[in-house]
Amino acid sequence: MKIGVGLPDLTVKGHPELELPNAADNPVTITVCCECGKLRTVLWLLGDRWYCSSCKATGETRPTLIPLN
Amino acid sequence: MAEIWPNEGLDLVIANAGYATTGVSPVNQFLALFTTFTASTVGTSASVAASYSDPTGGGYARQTISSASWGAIASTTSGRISTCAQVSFLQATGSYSAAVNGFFVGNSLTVGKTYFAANFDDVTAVTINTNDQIKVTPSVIFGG
Repeated sequence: MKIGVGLPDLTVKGHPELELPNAADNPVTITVCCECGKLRTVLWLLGDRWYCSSCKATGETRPTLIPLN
Repeated sequence: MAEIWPNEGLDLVIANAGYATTGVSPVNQFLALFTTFTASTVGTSASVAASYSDPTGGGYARQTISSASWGAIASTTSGRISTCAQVSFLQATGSYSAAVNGFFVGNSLTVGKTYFAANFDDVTAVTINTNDQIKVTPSVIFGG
């Protein structure tokens, strides 16, 4: 097992977030799922967006090509 | 017989345990993932840190949570809650050794001792493959 080093959290400009107030006037900003907007304990990075496990799974089966006649 | 931990008492306990920005100790805690148990179960009260096996491979490493990462204490229907800033794990350079069933917060970058452990709130195991990257949001609730 490798030893970890504290990484700055990854943020995406314009991504949906939830701001939790803080008595010390230093609110904690929490990234939420970009699709359902829910706060989940685990999010996945796909491209430049974070998805919850449910939306990630849904997205993988979603058509990605425009059908041609 | 009645008993209660009122909110102000819980808040003191939470802060003194390091789960609030007003707390000072411990300075750092460490976030780890575990592959033992299941996506909806964790260890017993007798379980120790070694009971929670970290995944191996793929560049996995425990991550540091500083005491300043914990937010303000707030109320939920279950008690008093403190939420930590999200922690991103390194982008996987390969597959993890096994599916991840949850996370735990401990006092060491190696085995150490476990403060608490939890499954993910969607009770779904996470399989990490090459280039996958996840972020985890720890929170603690103390009920009175």
